[in-house]
Amino acid sequence: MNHVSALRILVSLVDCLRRRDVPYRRVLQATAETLSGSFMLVCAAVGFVGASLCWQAAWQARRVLGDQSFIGPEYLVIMTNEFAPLMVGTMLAARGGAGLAARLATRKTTYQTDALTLMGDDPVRVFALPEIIASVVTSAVLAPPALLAGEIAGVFTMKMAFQVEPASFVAFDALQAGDLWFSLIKAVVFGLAVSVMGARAGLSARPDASGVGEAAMRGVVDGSVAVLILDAALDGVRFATGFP
Amino acid sequence: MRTLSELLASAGRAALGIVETAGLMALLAWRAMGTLLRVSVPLREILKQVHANGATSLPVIIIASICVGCIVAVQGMDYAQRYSAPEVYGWAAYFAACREVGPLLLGLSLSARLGAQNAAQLAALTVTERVDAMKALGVDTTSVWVTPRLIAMPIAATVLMLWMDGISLVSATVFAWIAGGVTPWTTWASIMRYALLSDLLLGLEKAAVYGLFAALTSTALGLAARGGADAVGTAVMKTAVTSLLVISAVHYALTVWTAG
Repeated sequence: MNHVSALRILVSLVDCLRRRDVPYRRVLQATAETLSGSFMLVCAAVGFVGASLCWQAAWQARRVLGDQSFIGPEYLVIMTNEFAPLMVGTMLAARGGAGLAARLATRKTTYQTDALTLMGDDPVRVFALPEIIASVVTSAVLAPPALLAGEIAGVFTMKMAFQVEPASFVAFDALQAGDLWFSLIKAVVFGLAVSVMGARAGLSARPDASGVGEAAMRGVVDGSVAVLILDAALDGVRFATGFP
Repeated sequence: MRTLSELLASAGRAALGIVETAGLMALLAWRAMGTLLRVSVPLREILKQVHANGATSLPVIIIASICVGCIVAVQGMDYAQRYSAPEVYGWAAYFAACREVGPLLLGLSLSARLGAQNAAQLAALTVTERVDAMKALGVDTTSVWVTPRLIAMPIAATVLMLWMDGISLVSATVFAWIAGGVTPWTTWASIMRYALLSDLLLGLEKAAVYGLFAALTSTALGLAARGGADAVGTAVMKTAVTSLLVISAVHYALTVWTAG
Protein backbone atom coordinates (compact mmCIF):
# COMPACT_ATOMS: atom_id res chain seq x y z
CA MET A 1 0.00 0.00 0.00
CA ASN A 2 2.25 2.80 -1.29
CA HIS A 3 -0.31 5.46 -2.06
CA VAL A 4 -3.84 5.79 -0.76
CA SER A 5 -6.09 8.39 -2.36
CA ALA A 6 -8.59 10.58 -0.52
CA LEU A 7 -11.34 9.13 -2.72
CA ARG A 8 -10.47 5.57 -1.68
CA ILE A 9 -10.69 6.61 2.00
CA LEU A 10 -14.04 8.33 1.42
CA VAL A 11 -15.41 5.27 -0.41
CA SER A 12 -14.29 3.02 2.48
CA LEU A 13 -15.95 5.39 4.95
CA VAL A 14 -19.26 5.38 3.06
CA ASP A 15 -19.10 1.61 2.65
CA CYS A 16 -18.53 1.05 6.39
CA LEU A 17 -21.32 3.45 7.32
CA ARG A 18 -23.68 1.76 4.83
CA ARG A 19 -22.91 -1.68 6.29
CA ARG A 20 -23.05 -0.21 9.84
CA ASP A 21 -19.61 -1.67 10.37
CA VAL A 22 -18.46 1.07 12.73
CA PRO A 23 -16.19 0.28 15.72
CA TYR A 24 -18.17 2.45 18.17
CA ARG A 25 -15.88 1.85 21.14
CA ARG A 26 -12.79 2.93 19.16
CA VAL A 27 -14.67 5.95 17.76
CA LEU A 28 -15.70 7.02 21.28
CA GLN A 29 -12.16 6.57 22.55
CA ALA A 30 -10.68 8.60 19.65
CA THR A 31 -13.35 11.32 20.08
CA ALA A 32 -12.57 11.65 23.78
CA GLU A 33 -8.83 11.86 23.06
CA THR A 34 -9.20 14.46 20.27
CA LEU A 35 -11.73 16.52 22.23
CA SER A 36 -9.70 16.65 25.43
CA GLY A 37 -6.55 17.55 23.50
CA SER A 38 -8.14 20.17 21.24
CA PHE A 39 -10.73 21.91 23.41
CA MET A 40 -8.52 24.47 25.17
CA LEU A 41 -6.34 25.00 22.08
CA VAL A 42 -9.32 25.81 19.85
CA CYS A 43 -10.91 28.09 22.46
CA ALA A 44 -7.61 29.96 23.02
CA ALA A 45 -6.94 30.40 19.27
CA VAL A 46 -10.51 31.57 18.53
CA GLY A 47 -10.31 33.85 21.57
CA PHE A 48 -7.15 35.58 20.33
CA VAL A 49 -8.42 35.94 16.76
CA GLY A 50 -11.82 37.18 18.00
CA ALA A 51 -10.25 39.72 20.35
CA SER A 52 -8.01 41.14 17.61
CA LEU A 53 -10.92 41.27 15.13
CA CYS A 54 -13.07 43.08 17.69
CA TRP A 55 -10.31 45.52 18.59
CA GLN A 56 -9.63 46.40 14.95
CA ALA A 57 -13.33 46.81 14.12
CA ALA A 58 -14.05 48.93 17.22
CA TRP A 59 -11.00 51.10 16.66
CA GLN A 60 -11.86 51.74 13.00
CA ALA A 61 -15.52 52.39 13.85
CA ARG A 62 -14.58 54.91 16.55
CA ARG A 63 -12.03 56.62 14.29
CA VAL A 64 -14.16 56.83 11.13
CA LEU A 65 -17.78 56.85 12.31
CA GLY A 66 -17.62 57.68 16.02
CA ASP A 67 -20.20 54.94 16.61
CA GLN A 68 -19.50 51.43 17.91
CA SER A 69 -23.06 50.27 18.51
CA PHE A 70 -23.19 48.09 15.37
CA ILE A 71 -20.00 46.14 16.22
CA GLY A 72 -21.68 43.60 18.53
CA PRO A 73 -24.19 42.15 16.03
CA GLU A 74 -21.79 42.28 13.06
CA TYR A 75 -18.98 40.66 15.08
CA LEU A 76 -21.22 37.81 16.20
CA VAL A 77 -22.41 37.14 12.65
CA ILE A 78 -18.90 37.15 11.13
CA MET A 79 -17.53 34.97 13.95
CA THR A 80 -20.36 32.48 13.44
CA ASN A 81 -20.14 32.36 9.66
CA GLU A 82 -16.40 32.69 9.16
CA PHE A 83 -13.82 32.76 11.91
CA ALA A 84 -15.06 30.24 14.50
CA PRO A 85 -15.41 27.33 12.03
CA LEU A 86 -12.24 28.40 10.16
CA MET A 87 -10.16 28.32 13.35
CA VAL A 88 -11.73 25.01 14.43
CA GLY A 89 -10.75 23.54 11.04
CA THR A 90 -7.24 24.98 11.07
CA MET A 91 -6.58 23.87 14.63
CA LEU A 92 -7.91 20.37 13.90
CA ALA A 93 -5.65 20.22 10.82
CA ALA A 94 -2.67 21.05 13.02
CA ARG A 95 -3.49 18.75 15.90
CA GLY A 96 -5.77 16.05 14.55
CA GLY A 97 -4.55 15.91 10.93
CA ALA A 98 -0.84 15.90 11.80
CA GLY A 99 -1.38 13.52 14.72
CA LEU A 100 -3.37 11.05 12.62
CA ALA A 101 -0.82 11.21 9.78
CA ALA A 102 2.06 10.65 12.23
CA ARG A 103 0.32 7.73 13.97
CA LEU A 104 -0.54 6.00 10.70
CA ALA A 105 2.95 6.61 9.28
CA THR A 106 4.48 5.15 12.46
CA ARG A 107 2.28 2.07 12.03
CA LYS A 108 3.68 1.78 8.48
CA THR A 109 7.23 2.14 9.81
CA THR A 110 6.63 -0.71 12.26
CA TYR A 111 4.97 -2.82 9.50
CA GLN A 112 1.61 -2.98 11.31
CA THR A 113 -0.27 -1.99 8.15
CA ASP A 114 1.54 -4.68 6.13
CA ALA A 115 0.74 -7.29 8.78
CA LEU A 116 -2.93 -6.32 8.73
CA THR A 117 -3.04 -6.50 4.92
CA LEU A 118 -1.42 -9.98 5.04
CA MET A 119 -4.15 -11.11 7.44
CA GLY A 120 -6.73 -9.99 4.86
CA ASP A 121 -7.97 -6.90 6.66
CA ASP A 122 -8.00 -3.31 5.46
CA PRO A 123 -5.75 -0.78 7.29
CA VAL A 124 -8.00 2.06 6.13
CA ARG A 125 -11.00 0.47 7.86
CA VAL A 126 -9.18 -0.60 10.99
CA PHE A 127 -6.80 2.30 11.65
CA ALA A 128 -8.17 5.35 9.83
CA LEU A 129 -11.97 5.18 9.86
CA PRO A 130 -12.54 5.41 13.63
CA GLU A 131 -10.32 8.50 13.73
CA ILE A 132 -12.09 10.10 10.75
CA ILE A 133 -15.52 9.63 12.33
CA ALA A 134 -14.09 10.90 15.64
CA SER A 135 -12.74 14.02 13.88
CA VAL A 136 -16.15 14.78 12.36
CA VAL A 137 -17.88 14.36 15.74
CA THR A 138 -15.20 16.45 17.48
CA SER A 139 -15.49 19.33 15.02
CA ALA A 140 -19.27 19.42 15.45
CA VAL A 141 -18.94 19.37 19.25
CA LEU A 142 -16.17 22.02 19.24
CA ALA A 143 -17.99 24.55 17.01
CA PRO A 144 -20.41 25.97 19.67
CA PRO A 145 -17.78 26.38 22.46
CA ALA A 146 -15.39 27.98 19.94
CA LEU A 147 -18.06 30.52 19.03
CA LEU A 148 -18.73 31.15 22.71
CA ALA A 149 -15.01 31.64 23.38
CA GLY A 150 -14.87 34.19 20.54
CA GLU A 151 -17.89 36.04 21.93
CA ILE A 152 -16.44 36.10 25.46
CA ALA A 153 -13.12 37.43 24.08
CA GLY A 154 -15.08 40.12 22.23
CA VAL A 155 -17.01 41.10 25.36
CA PHE A 156 -13.79 41.40 27.39
CA THR A 157 -12.02 43.41 24.68
CA MET A 158 -14.89 45.85 24.28
CA LYS A 159 -15.33 46.29 28.01
CA MET A 160 -11.64 46.64 28.90
CA ALA A 161 -10.44 48.66 25.90
CA PHE A 162 -13.48 50.63 24.76
CA GLN A 163 -15.72 50.71 27.88
CA VAL A 164 -18.64 49.15 25.98
CA GLU A 165 -20.99 47.32 28.34
CA PRO A 166 -21.56 43.59 27.66
CA ALA A 167 -25.32 44.16 27.57
CA SER A 168 -25.01 46.49 24.58
CA PHE A 169 -22.40 44.31 22.84
CA VAL A 170 -23.95 40.85 23.07
CA ALA A 171 -26.65 40.60 20.39
CA PHE A 172 -27.69 36.98 19.93
CA ASP A 173 -30.85 38.16 18.18
CA ALA A 174 -28.66 39.23 15.23
CA LEU A 175 -28.06 35.54 14.48
CA GLN A 176 -30.44 33.60 12.30
CA ALA A 177 -30.90 29.85 12.40
CA GLY A 178 -29.22 29.70 8.96
CA ASP A 179 -26.03 31.23 10.39
CA LEU A 180 -25.79 28.56 13.09
CA TRP A 181 -26.47 25.77 10.60
CA PHE A 182 -23.90 27.20 8.20
CA SER A 183 -21.28 27.34 10.97
CA LEU A 184 -22.01 23.76 12.00
CA ILE A 185 -21.95 22.49 8.40
CA LYS A 186 -18.61 24.22 7.82
CA ALA A 187 -17.10 22.73 11.00
CA VAL A 188 -18.27 19.21 10.10
CA VAL A 189 -16.98 19.50 6.50
CA PHE A 190 -13.62 20.79 7.78
CA GLY A 191 -13.41 17.97 10.34
CA LEU A 192 -13.99 15.41 7.60
CA ALA A 193 -11.51 17.06 5.21
CA VAL A 194 -8.61 17.38 7.67
CA SER A 195 -8.94 13.81 8.88
CA VAL A 196 -9.17 12.38 5.34
CA MET A 197 -6.09 14.41 4.37
CA GLY A 198 -4.26 13.24 7.49
CA ALA A 199 -5.16 9.60 6.82
CA ARG A 200 -4.08 9.91 3.18
CA ALA A 201 -0.72 11.40 4.18
CA GLY A 202 -0.12 8.79 6.88
CA LEU A 203 -1.08 5.75 4.82
CA SER A 204 1.00 6.97 1.85
CA ALA A 205 4.14 7.62 3.94
CA ARG A 206 7.62 6.18 3.41
CA PRO A 207 8.37 3.72 6.25
CA ASP A 208 11.27 5.56 7.97
CA ALA A 209 11.87 8.44 10.40
CA SER A 210 11.94 11.18 7.76
CA GLY A 211 8.87 9.60 6.11
CA VAL A 212 6.92 10.02 9.38
CA GLY A 213 7.96 13.68 9.55
CA GLU A 214 7.00 14.28 5.92
CA ALA A 215 3.65 12.55 6.43
CA ALA A 216 2.84 14.70 9.48
CA MET A 217 3.84 17.79 7.51
CA ARG A 218 1.68 16.75 4.54
CA GLY A 219 -1.19 16.09 6.94
CA VAL A 220 -1.04 19.66 8.31
CA VAL A 221 -0.44 21.37 4.96
CA ASP A 222 -3.04 19.45 2.95
CA GLY A 223 -5.54 19.76 5.80
CA SER A 224 -5.05 23.54 6.12
CA VAL A 225 -5.26 24.10 2.36
CA ALA A 226 -8.37 21.90 2.14
CA VAL A 227 -9.98 23.96 4.92
CA LEU A 228 -9.27 27.23 3.07
CA ILE A 229 -10.55 25.90 -0.26
CA LEU A 230 -13.72 24.46 1.28
CA ASP A 231 -14.28 27.65 3.28
CA ALA A 232 -14.12 29.79 0.13
CA ALA A 233 -16.31 27.30 -1.78
CA LEU A 234 -18.98 27.14 0.96
CA ASP A 235 -18.98 30.96 1.27
CA GLY A 236 -19.43 31.20 -2.49
CA VAL A 237 -22.30 28.70 -2.49
CA ARG A 238 -24.05 30.53 0.33
CA PHE A 239 -23.55 33.92 -1.34
CA ALA A 240 -24.94 32.62 -4.63
CA THR A 241 -27.85 30.54 -3.32
CA GLY A 242 -28.60 32.01 0.11
CA PHE A 243 -28.67 28.48 1.57
CA PRO A 244 -28.79 27.75 4.47
CA MET B 1 -11.90 13.85 43.35
CA ARG B 2 -9.80 11.85 40.93
CA THR B 3 -11.17 13.85 37.98
CA LEU B 4 -10.28 17.10 39.75
CA SER B 5 -6.72 15.98 40.42
CA GLU B 6 -6.41 14.79 36.78
CA LEU B 7 -7.67 18.17 35.59
CA LEU B 8 -5.19 19.99 37.81
CA ALA B 9 -2.39 17.71 36.66
CA SER B 10 -3.23 18.32 33.00
CA ALA B 11 -3.39 22.10 33.60
CA GLY B 12 0.00 21.88 35.31
CA ARG B 13 1.45 19.88 32.43
CA ALA B 14 0.08 22.44 29.94
CA ALA B 15 1.59 25.31 31.96
CA LEU B 16 4.94 23.51 32.16
CA GLY B 17 4.81 22.85 28.40
CA ILE B 18 4.16 26.55 27.66
CA VAL B 19 7.02 27.68 29.92
CA GLU B 20 9.37 25.02 28.50
CA THR B 21 8.60 25.97 24.88
CA ALA B 22 8.91 29.70 25.63
CA GLY B 23 12.25 29.00 27.33
CA LEU B 24 13.50 26.93 24.39
CA MET B 25 12.50 29.68 21.94
CA ALA B 26 14.19 32.40 24.03
CA LEU B 27 17.38 30.34 24.37
CA LEU B 28 17.45 29.66 20.66
CA ALA B 29 16.97 33.36 19.79
CA TRP B 30 19.74 34.27 22.26
CA ARG B 31 22.15 31.71 20.76
CA ALA B 32 21.32 32.79 17.21
CA MET B 33 22.00 36.44 18.10
CA GLY B 34 25.29 35.37 19.67
CA THR B 35 26.23 33.52 16.48
CA LEU B 36 25.40 36.56 14.38
CA LEU B 37 27.71 38.71 16.49
CA ARG B 38 30.55 36.18 16.67
CA VAL B 39 30.54 34.52 13.29
CA SER B 40 30.06 35.97 9.83
CA VAL B 41 26.51 35.68 8.49
CA PRO B 42 26.19 32.39 6.55
CA LEU B 43 24.84 34.13 3.43
CA ARG B 44 24.90 31.07 1.16
CA GLU B 45 22.92 28.99 3.68
CA ILE B 46 20.46 31.85 4.26
CA LEU B 47 19.84 32.19 0.52
CA LYS B 48 19.41 28.42 0.27
CA GLN B 49 16.86 28.51 3.07
CA VAL B 50 14.98 31.49 1.58
CA HIS B 51 14.71 29.55 -1.68
CA ALA B 52 13.78 26.30 0.08
CA ASN B 53 11.13 28.01 2.21
CA GLY B 54 9.84 30.50 -0.34
CA ALA B 55 9.83 28.60 -3.62
CA THR B 56 8.49 25.35 -2.20
CA SER B 57 5.68 27.18 -0.37
CA LEU B 58 4.58 29.19 -3.39
CA PRO B 59 1.97 26.68 -4.71
CA VAL B 60 0.35 26.48 -1.25
CA ILE B 61 0.38 30.26 -0.90
CA ILE B 62 -1.11 30.77 -4.38
CA ILE B 63 -4.03 28.46 -3.55
CA ALA B 64 -4.43 30.08 -0.11
CA SER B 65 -4.36 33.57 -1.71
CA ILE B 66 -7.12 32.73 -4.18
CA CYS B 67 -9.24 31.43 -1.28
CA VAL B 68 -8.45 34.50 0.86
CA GLY B 69 -9.56 36.72 -2.03
CA CYS B 70 -12.87 34.84 -2.32
CA ILE B 71 -13.51 34.93 1.46
CA VAL B 72 -12.72 38.65 1.64
CA ALA B 73 -14.93 39.29 -1.43
CA VAL B 74 -17.94 37.47 0.06
CA GLN B 75 -17.70 39.33 3.36
CA GLY B 76 -16.91 42.68 1.71
CA MET B 77 -19.76 42.46 -0.81
CA ASP B 78 -22.18 41.49 1.94
CA TYR B 79 -21.40 44.71 3.84
CA ALA B 80 -21.25 46.83 0.67
CA GLN B 81 -24.73 45.61 -0.33
CA ARG B 82 -26.26 45.95 3.15
CA TYR B 83 -24.96 49.49 3.66
CA SER B 84 -25.50 50.45 -0.02
CA ALA B 85 -21.87 51.51 -0.39
CA PRO B 86 -20.35 49.62 -3.37
CA GLU B 87 -17.71 52.37 -3.73
CA VAL B 88 -15.92 51.21 -0.58
CA TYR B 89 -15.86 47.50 -1.53
CA GLY B 90 -12.39 47.74 -3.11
CA TRP B 91 -10.91 49.47 -0.09
CA ALA B 92 -12.51 46.95 2.30
CA ALA B 93 -11.08 44.06 0.27
CA TYR B 94 -7.65 45.74 0.19
CA PHE B 95 -7.68 46.46 3.95
CA ALA B 96 -8.74 42.93 4.87
CA ALA B 97 -6.48 41.14 2.38
CA CYS B 98 -3.34 43.22 2.86
CA ARG B 99 -3.48 44.27 6.50
CA GLU B 100 -5.73 42.02 8.60
CA VAL B 101 -7.16 38.70 7.38
CA GLY B 102 -4.49 38.16 4.69
CA PRO B 103 -1.46 38.33 7.03
CA LEU B 104 -3.28 36.21 9.64
CA LEU B 105 -4.16 33.47 7.14
CA LEU B 106 -0.65 33.67 5.67
CA GLY B 107 0.73 33.22 9.20
CA LEU B 108 -1.51 30.19 9.76
CA SER B 109 -0.52 28.71 6.37
CA LEU B 110 3.15 29.43 7.09
CA SER B 111 3.00 27.73 10.47
CA ALA B 112 1.57 24.70 8.69
CA ARG B 113 3.88 24.70 5.66
CA LEU B 114 7.20 26.17 6.76
CA GLY B 115 6.94 25.37 10.46
CA ALA B 116 6.01 21.74 9.92
CA GLN B 117 8.62 21.31 7.17
CA ASN B 118 11.34 22.86 9.33
CA ALA B 119 10.40 20.80 12.39
CA ALA B 120 10.27 17.60 10.32
CA GLN B 121 13.76 18.20 8.89
CA LEU B 122 15.35 19.10 12.22
CA ALA B 123 13.59 16.37 14.19
CA ALA B 124 14.70 13.75 11.62
CA LEU B 125 18.29 15.02 11.98
CA THR B 126 18.04 14.92 15.78
CA VAL B 127 16.53 11.43 16.19
CA THR B 128 19.05 9.93 13.75
CA GLU B 129 21.78 11.50 15.98
CA ARG B 130 23.25 13.57 13.17
CA VAL B 131 23.03 16.73 15.32
CA ASP B 132 24.99 14.98 18.10
CA ALA B 133 27.56 13.79 15.53
CA MET B 134 28.07 17.34 14.25
CA LYS B 135 28.48 18.60 17.83
CA ALA B 136 31.04 15.82 18.53
CA LEU B 137 33.01 17.02 15.48
CA GLY B 138 33.10 20.49 17.00
CA VAL B 139 30.68 22.09 14.53
CA ASP B 140 28.59 24.99 15.86
CA THR B 141 25.13 23.62 15.11
CA THR B 142 23.44 26.94 15.92
CA SER B 143 25.24 28.74 13.09
CA VAL B 144 24.58 25.85 10.68
CA TRP B 145 20.93 25.02 11.41
CA VAL B 146 19.39 27.73 13.57
CA THR B 147 20.60 31.19 12.53
CA PRO B 148 20.03 30.77 8.75
CA ARG B 149 16.48 29.58 9.39
CA LEU B 150 15.68 32.43 11.78
CA ILE B 151 16.83 34.95 9.17
CA ALA B 152 15.48 33.18 6.08
CA MET B 153 11.92 32.47 7.22
CA PRO B 154 10.94 36.14 7.89
CA ILE B 155 12.41 37.10 4.50
CA ALA B 156 10.52 34.27 2.76
CA ALA B 157 7.33 35.21 4.64
CA THR B 158 7.58 38.84 3.50
CA VAL B 159 8.08 37.84 -0.14
CA LEU B 160 5.19 35.35 0.08
CA MET B 161 2.98 38.07 1.61
CA LEU B 162 3.63 40.27 -1.43
CA TRP B 163 2.49 37.38 -3.65
CA MET B 164 -0.55 36.91 -1.45
CA ASP B 165 -1.45 40.62 -1.61
CA GLY B 166 -1.42 40.63 -5.41
CA ILE B 167 -3.19 37.32 -5.97
CA SER B 168 -5.85 37.83 -3.31
CA LEU B 169 -6.74 41.28 -4.66
CA VAL B 170 -7.06 39.92 -8.21
CA SER B 171 -9.12 37.00 -6.87
CA ALA B 172 -11.39 39.37 -4.85
CA THR B 173 -11.84 41.56 -7.96
CA VAL B 174 -12.75 38.63 -10.22
CA PHE B 175 -15.07 37.03 -7.64
CA ALA B 176 -16.90 40.33 -7.03
CA TRP B 177 -17.29 40.83 -10.78
CA ILE B 178 -18.66 37.35 -11.46
CA ALA B 179 -20.76 36.80 -8.33
CA GLY B 180 -21.75 40.31 -7.30
CA GLY B 181 -21.63 42.35 -10.50
CA VAL B 182 -19.07 44.80 -9.06
CA THR B 183 -16.92 45.76 -12.06
CA PRO B 184 -13.12 45.62 -11.79
CA TRP B 185 -13.10 49.34 -12.57
CA THR B 186 -15.25 50.12 -9.48
CA THR B 187 -13.11 47.88 -7.26
CA TRP B 188 -9.78 49.34 -8.36
CA ALA B 189 -11.05 52.94 -8.37
CA SER B 190 -11.99 52.38 -4.72
CA ILE B 191 -8.56 50.92 -3.95
CA MET B 192 -6.78 53.81 -5.69
CA ARG B 193 -8.87 56.37 -3.88
CA TYR B 194 -8.96 55.07 -0.31
CA ALA B 195 -6.10 52.57 0.14
CA LEU B 196 -3.03 53.58 2.13
CA LEU B 197 0.48 52.33 1.43
CA SER B 198 1.04 52.13 5.19
CA ASP B 199 -1.59 49.35 5.44
CA LEU B 200 0.31 47.29 2.85
CA LEU B 201 3.63 47.85 4.66
CA LEU B 202 2.05 46.93 8.00
CA GLY B 203 0.81 43.67 6.48
CA LEU B 204 4.34 42.89 5.25
CA GLU B 205 5.79 43.64 8.70
CA LYS B 206 3.21 41.34 10.29
CA ALA B 207 4.15 38.57 7.85
CA ALA B 208 7.84 38.95 8.76
CA VAL B 209 7.03 38.71 12.49
CA TYR B 210 4.86 35.61 11.94
CA GLY B 211 7.70 34.09 9.88
CA LEU B 212 10.14 34.73 12.74
CA PHE B 213 7.85 33.13 15.33
CA ALA B 214 7.12 30.17 13.06
CA ALA B 215 10.89 29.72 12.65
CA LEU B 216 11.57 30.00 16.38
CA THR B 217 8.82 27.55 17.34
CA SER B 218 9.63 24.96 14.69
CA THR B 219 13.41 25.09 15.23
CA ALA B 220 13.08 24.84 19.02
CA LEU B 221 10.64 21.93 18.93
CA GLY B 222 12.39 20.16 16.03
CA LEU B 223 15.73 20.17 17.85
CA ALA B 224 14.05 19.10 21.11
CA ALA B 225 12.69 15.86 19.54
CA ARG B 226 13.82 12.70 21.36
CA GLY B 227 13.13 9.05 20.55
CA GLY B 228 12.44 7.11 17.36
CA ALA B 229 10.43 7.70 14.19
CA ASP B 230 7.27 8.55 16.13
CA ALA B 231 9.12 11.45 17.84
CA VAL B 232 9.47 13.14 14.44
CA GLY B 233 5.71 13.03 13.91
CA THR B 234 5.07 14.26 17.44
CA ALA B 235 7.51 17.15 16.92
CA VAL B 236 5.71 18.19 13.73
CA MET B 237 2.31 18.03 15.41
CA LYS B 238 3.52 19.99 18.45
CA THR B 239 5.10 22.57 16.15
CA ALA B 240 1.94 23.03 14.08
CA VAL B 241 -0.24 23.46 17.19
CA THR B 242 2.21 25.69 19.08
CA SER B 243 2.90 27.93 16.03
CA LEU B 244 -0.83 28.36 15.43
CA LEU B 245 -1.38 29.42 19.04
CA VAL B 246 1.70 31.66 19.09
CA ILE B 247 0.72 33.33 15.80
CA SER B 248 -2.86 33.90 17.02
CA ALA B 249 -1.49 35.52 20.20
CA VAL B 250 1.09 37.59 18.28
CA HIS B 251 -1.67 38.68 15.86
CA TYR B 252 -3.65 40.02 18.82
CA ALA B 253 -0.61 41.80 20.26
CA LEU B 254 0.25 43.37 16.87
CA THR B 255 -3.37 44.48 16.33
CA VAL B 256 -3.46 46.21 19.71
CA TRP B 257 -0.04 47.75 19.17
CA THR B 258 -0.61 48.99 15.62
CA ALA B 259 -4.20 50.14 16.15
CA GLY B 260 -2.88 52.35 18.95
